Amino acid sequence: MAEFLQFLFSGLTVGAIYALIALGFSLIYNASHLINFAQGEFVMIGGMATVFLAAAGIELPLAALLAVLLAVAVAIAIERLGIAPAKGASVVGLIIVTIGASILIRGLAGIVWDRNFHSLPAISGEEPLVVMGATLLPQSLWIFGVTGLTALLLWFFFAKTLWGKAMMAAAYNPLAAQLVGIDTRRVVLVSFALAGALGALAGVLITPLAPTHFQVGVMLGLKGFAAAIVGGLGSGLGAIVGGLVIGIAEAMAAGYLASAYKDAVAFVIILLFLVLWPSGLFGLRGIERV
Amino acid sequence: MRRLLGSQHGGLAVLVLVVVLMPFAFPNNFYFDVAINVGIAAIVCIGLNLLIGYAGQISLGHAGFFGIGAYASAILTTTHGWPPLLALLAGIAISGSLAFVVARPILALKGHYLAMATLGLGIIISIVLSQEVELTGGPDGMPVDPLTLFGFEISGPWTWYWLVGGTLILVTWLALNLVDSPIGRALQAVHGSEIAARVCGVDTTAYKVLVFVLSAVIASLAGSLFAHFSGWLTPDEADFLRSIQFVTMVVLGGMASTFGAIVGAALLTALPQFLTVFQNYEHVMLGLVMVLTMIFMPRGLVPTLALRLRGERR
Amino acid sequence: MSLLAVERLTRSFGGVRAVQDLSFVIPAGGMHSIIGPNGAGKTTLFNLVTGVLRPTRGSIRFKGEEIAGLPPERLAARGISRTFQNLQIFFNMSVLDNVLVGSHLALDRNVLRALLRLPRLRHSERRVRRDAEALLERVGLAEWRDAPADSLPYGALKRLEIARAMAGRPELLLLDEPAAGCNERETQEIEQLLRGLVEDGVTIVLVEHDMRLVMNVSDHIIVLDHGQMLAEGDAETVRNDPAVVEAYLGQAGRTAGHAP
Repeated sequence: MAEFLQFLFSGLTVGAIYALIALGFSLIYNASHLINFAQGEFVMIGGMATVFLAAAGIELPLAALLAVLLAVAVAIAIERLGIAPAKGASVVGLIIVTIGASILIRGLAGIVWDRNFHSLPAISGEEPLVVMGATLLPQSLWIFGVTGLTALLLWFFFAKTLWGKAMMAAAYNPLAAQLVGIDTRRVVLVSFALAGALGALAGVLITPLAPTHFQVGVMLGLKGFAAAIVGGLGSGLGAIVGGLVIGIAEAMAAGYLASAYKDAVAFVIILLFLVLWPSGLFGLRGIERV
Repeated sequence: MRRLLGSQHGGLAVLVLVVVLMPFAFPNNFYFDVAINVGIAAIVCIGLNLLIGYAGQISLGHAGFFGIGAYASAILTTTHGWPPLLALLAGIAISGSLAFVVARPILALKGHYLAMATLGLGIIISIVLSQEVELTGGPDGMPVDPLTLFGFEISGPWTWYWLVGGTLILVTWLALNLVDSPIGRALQAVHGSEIAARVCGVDTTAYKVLVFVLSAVIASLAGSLFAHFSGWLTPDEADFLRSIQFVTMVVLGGMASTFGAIVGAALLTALPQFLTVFQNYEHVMLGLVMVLTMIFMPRGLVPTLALRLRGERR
Repeated sequence: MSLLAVERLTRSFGGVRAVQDLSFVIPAGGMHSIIGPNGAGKTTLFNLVTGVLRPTRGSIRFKGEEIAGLPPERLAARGISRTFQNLQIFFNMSVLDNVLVGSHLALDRNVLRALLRLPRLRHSERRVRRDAEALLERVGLAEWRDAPADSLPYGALKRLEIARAMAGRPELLLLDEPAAGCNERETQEIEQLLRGLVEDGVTIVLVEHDMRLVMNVSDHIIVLDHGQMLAEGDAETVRNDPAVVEAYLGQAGRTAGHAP
C-alpha cells in the first residue's frame, strides 16, 4: 500500500506538470488549430533561465518571474516570426515550422547557457512529509497547488471574462468571431503568450525535482502533447486529466514493470488513444480524422 | 539543360554523371566519407518523399525503420554471424512487417494526429533500441562487422562509394518509374483528394499501406548500409531528431520531387561536415533552415528552381 | 430495365433525417435530374448512392445487385462515377494526370511492373493515354493538357471533373451541380457535353440549381423536399405539379427569377 501510494504521489506530481504543458497545447490548438511542437522548449526556458538568472545574483522569485516572461517573449516571437509569415502553409509545413523553432531554441540554449544539468532549491525545503508510510515532498504540494490554482484561473478567464469568452468564440468559429469584431490574430498571439507562461511555470516547478538541461524540453513537450490527446485536444479539463493519467501510468509502469521503459509508456498510451479513441476523454467530435 | 532536368530520365542521366565523375575530384578520404553519408541519407529521403511528398502522409518516425535495418544488420552479423546480405534482408522483412501491421490504423489518421502517431512509433523503437542493452549495447552502441557481398569484403572509400552510389541510382530509377505509373498517380491522387481518388476506383487505404511499407523498407536498407559503413552503431541513429532531419531534407529539397529529396539530403548532410566552424551551431542552423524554408520557399529548392527556370523561358 | 433502384432509403445525422424512406427507380439511359430546395437531401442522396455515406436503412440496387454500404472504390469498379459540388480536383497534378487517375481501374496496377517500368505496363498506358487525350479534346481542355490543374479557371475545372469521371467509363454518372458558378456560355457548353454523353449511352443523374438547364435536358425529374419525394415525372408534369410549385419552383422563381 505504501509502495502504491509512493508511486501515486510521484505520478501525480509529474502528471500535474504534464497537465500544465498540455494546457498550453490545448490553448494554442483552440486558437489556431495548430500543434506547437515547441511547447516543451518553454518548460526548458523556465528551468534554465531561472537557474542562470539566480546564478547571476537575482533573487529566486524574481528570477523565476523573469524566466516566465522570457518564455512568453519567445512564444510571441515564434508566432510572429515563424507561424504568422507561414500562414497558408500545409499542416506538414506548420509542423515543420514549430519543430524547426524548437530545434533552434534548443540550439541557442545550448550555446547561450550550457549543456550541463542544473537544479533549483525546493520552495519549502526538502524535508519530506510521511503519509501512510509513503513520503511526499513539499515541492509536490506546491506543484499540486500551483497547477490547481492555474487551472481555476484559466477556467475563470475563459468562462467569466469578456476576453476569455471572445477567445472561446474565436476557437469555435473564427469567421463568425471576426465578423463580430474579435481580432482573431490577437487571440492567437495571446494563446501563445499564455502557453509560454504555462510551460515556463511547469519548468520552474519541476526543476527542483528533476534537473533541467538544454534538451529537457523534447520529452516533456511530447508527453504534454500525449496528455492533451488523451484528454481530448482543445479541452482544458481533458488536459489536466490527461496529464494525470500519463503521469500516473508512467510512475506505475516504472514502479511495477520496468523502469527502463518509463518513457515509452506515454507513447504507447498515445498510440492506443489515437487509434482507438482519437477524440480523447473529453474531446469534441469532428476530429481531423475525417 | 532545362529540358534535361525537366524530363525525368534526363534527370537520372545527370545523376549518373554526377555520381560517376564526382569522386575523381575528391581531394581526400574525408570527401568520400561525406559523399557516402549523403548517399545513404538520400536513399532514405527518396522513400520518405514517396510517402510525404507524393502521397501527402507525414511521418515523424522513419528513423525508427532506419534503426531497425541498422540494428538487424549489426546484431545478426556481429553477434550471430549471419551473412550480411541475409541480415540486410531480415532487417527489410522486420521493418516491412512492422510497417505493414501499423500502417492501417495509423494512416487512418490525418494531419497532426498522423504526425503524433508516427512520432510515437519512432520514439518507441528508439527507446527499445537504447534500453535492450544486452542486444544492442544500449546508448553506448555496438560494433558492426564489415560488409561482405558474395565473398567480397566491401572496404575502402572507393568500393563503398560505388556500392552506395549504385544503390542510390537504382533506388532513384525505381522511384521515378513508380511515380510515373498508375500507382504513382494514385498516390498523388490520395494527396490531392482522398474522396475523389476513391470515386475513381483508387483503394486509398491499400495505397497508403503500400507507400508506408515501401518507404520503411527503403529506410531499412539504407540503415543496414549505414551500420556496416560506420562500423559502430548507437541508438542516436534511430531517434526523434534523426527522423526530423530526414523530413527536413525532403521538405528543403522539395516535396514531390525525387531529385529534390537527393538535393535536400546532400545539403543537410554535407554542409555541417564542411562548415566545421558551425559545429556548435548545427542545431541552430537546422532549426533556421526548417523555419526559413517553410516561410520563403514552401515548395522546396528543386521545384522552386524549376518554376524559376520555366518562368525565365517565357 | 432499371439501372438504379432505391428503396425506402433513410439516412439520419444525429436526430435529423436528411433522406427518409425514399424510393425511386432510374431506368437505363437518358438524363435524370434530382431537384429540390437547399437542404432537401440531394447531396446526401448522391453520397449514399456513391458509397461516400452508409445508409441508416434501406436498399440501393444497381443492375439488380444490392450496393448499399459498399465503398466508393468498389462502386467505381461496378460502373458508378460522380463529380462533386465543391470541386475535388487533384490540384497537385497535371490536367492529363487527373483524367488518367479516372482510368485507374483500366490500367496495369502491378507494383513490380511499375517499379521496373516493364514494356507491358507502358503498352497498356499508351492506349489509355490516347483515350484521356480524346476526352480532354471533348470537354475542350486539350490545350491545357500538361498544365498543372491549379492553374485552370473555375469553369474549366468543372469540365475537368466531368472528363475524369468519364475516364472510368461509368454506366451511371452522377453530376452534382456541374453548372454551378458557370456563366451562360459555359453552361451551354456543359449542356452540349451532357447531351453527347447521353447519346453515347451513359445514364446521367443530375443535381442542378439552374432550372433552365434542368428543364432543357431532363427526360425524368425527381423533386425532393425534406429528404422525401415530392413529385416525379417529365419536365412538363413536374412544372405543373402544384406541390412542386409551392415548395420549390415558386420559391426559386420568386428569388432567382428562374420561374419556368
